[in-house]
Amino acid sequence: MLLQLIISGILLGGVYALTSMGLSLVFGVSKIINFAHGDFVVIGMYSALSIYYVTGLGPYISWILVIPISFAIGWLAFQLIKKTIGGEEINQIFITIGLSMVIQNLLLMTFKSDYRTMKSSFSSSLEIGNIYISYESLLAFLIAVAVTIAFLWFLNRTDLGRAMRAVSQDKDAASLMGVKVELINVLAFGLGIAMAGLAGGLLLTMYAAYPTAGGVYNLLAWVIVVLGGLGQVEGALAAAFLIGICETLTGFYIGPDFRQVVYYLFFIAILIIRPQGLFSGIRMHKKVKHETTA
Amino acid sequence: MKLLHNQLFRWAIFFIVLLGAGFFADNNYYLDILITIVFYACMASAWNIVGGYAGQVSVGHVAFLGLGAYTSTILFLKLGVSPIIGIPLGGVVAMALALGIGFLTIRLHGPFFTLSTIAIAEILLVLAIRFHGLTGGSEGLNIPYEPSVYNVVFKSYFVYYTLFVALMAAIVAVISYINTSRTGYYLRAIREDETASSSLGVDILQFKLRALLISAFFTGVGGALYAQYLLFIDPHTVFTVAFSTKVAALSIVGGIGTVIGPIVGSFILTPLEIFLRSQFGGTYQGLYLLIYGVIMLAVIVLIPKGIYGTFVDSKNRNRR
Repeated sequence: MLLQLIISGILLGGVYALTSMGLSLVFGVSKIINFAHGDFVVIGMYSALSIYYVTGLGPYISWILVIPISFAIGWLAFQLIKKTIGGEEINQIFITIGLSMVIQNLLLMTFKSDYRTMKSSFSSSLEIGNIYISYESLLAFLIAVAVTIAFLWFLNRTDLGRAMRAVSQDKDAASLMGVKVELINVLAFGLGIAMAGLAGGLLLTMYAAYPTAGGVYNLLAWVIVVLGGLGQVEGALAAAFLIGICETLTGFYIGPDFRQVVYYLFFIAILIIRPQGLFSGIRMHKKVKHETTA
Repeated sequence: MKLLHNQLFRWAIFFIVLLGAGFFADNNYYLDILITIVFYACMASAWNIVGGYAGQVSVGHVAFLGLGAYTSTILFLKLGVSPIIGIPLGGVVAMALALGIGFLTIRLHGPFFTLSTIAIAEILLVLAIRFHGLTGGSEGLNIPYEPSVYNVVFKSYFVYYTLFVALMAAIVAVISYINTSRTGYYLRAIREDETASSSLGVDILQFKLRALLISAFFTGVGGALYAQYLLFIDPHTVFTVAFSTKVAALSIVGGIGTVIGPIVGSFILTPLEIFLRSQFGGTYQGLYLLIYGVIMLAVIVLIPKGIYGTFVDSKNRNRR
């Protein structure tokens, strides 16, 4: 049973990794504190659901459509959020909270408050020994991993990716080197939201969608990003698997309602004891403080 | 001194008019609206102490509200302790929680403090559902309708209204006092420039913690009083993070960091909410929160200082 739970946790963690890498990218590049990130995950869920209702395509195919849809939504949202960049931090926090209220209640009005799931299109599941893995979660996991690898390659090996990293390190210096900071900001935001949306579509194979789920996924993404060390993409990856496993284990041994409580406690402890993250020696905490007060 | 006197006079008139409005409302429907407005004005003002003055944005303030409400209700239902003692005690318990979490998290920088407050509210929500024996679980707790002063249950809505107005007067008095006291100046200095004030010897954490404690106390008292008014509490009303965002939205729309801002916010948005809920609540669930969100976004983008803050700014500009 333990092995089964750990494997489910890893599958879940793969999808969580996508969510938190999107958040990490947005925070790293444009320094936007996005409290609506989870709501973009939920938008991804409902996009995948809508595609399923109209065309009957499952999330392991519709993700190809969910990515551009989420990117466009991210692009739009950025036009609003960018108005607070460089302004007071409290307004930055509240513009995304306001956005989150708008998204949640728009979803509530269009889709009602029901929990919605998708019928599985596979009748059997993969069986290794006495461990069962549903093909859908496995596929979702594989897609998530493939996109994650593609994203890391993009960030480290392409010019655009380098430009993003440059802006994240020092936007003035990057601007002097001819990087179009404004464009990079919006691209990074769109890309981050696209990854969140994709993660949402894939999550639909494991969890039900409901309009206010964004709150849970938002905190979840932040927990992972903080645990991994702010702006540390690889750290977030490891933290995502840790949280995935933690969630399935507590869900089974303590009770499904405690799934989040355990990692929330863990989160507060980390913030207090190791604000630089579990896996990092670099003190991003201080650096962030600098940049927002400057 | 003259200014203070003048201000005191103005506030006195404001509260007398407020009470008079309730007295002449003479109709439970209108009184209920007034009570809701004043209750949210209290909550927004209390939030403003830590969110507006100390600059620590909490979105988990509902934890203090819920704790206050559960403290007085459980003490009354299980031990028969009168809410006359239970309500202030609710504030004290909320303050104790604030001391505990504040001691640990107040040092966290901006968004991370915010995130930790959300996490704490979520944890309390789950615990309130889980400890069924004490809290009644998801079904919540009912306070029996037996009007008496000992039970703090009243037949007349006007008595509740008076209590809420009294609470608001107390909050306004405390904020006005803080404003003119040393603590107020320190808090303002901290909000303007944390590093500079710290280098001048201001103990930042201590003052932020003070603000959090005062804020939590009033939120807890307000929650306990609100439970007495509704005669019912359940985890999903008193521990939901959406409540905190709503309260914060009132302050932001009205103008954070001012005494009057949160009250202005509540007097504008709460009646709007009641109207939208009664008109469209059945057909368009969530419409009022959608409009709240849109108003909040508009205010942040167009007038970041809020309605009252912008009003004061333009008045000062004209004077010059």
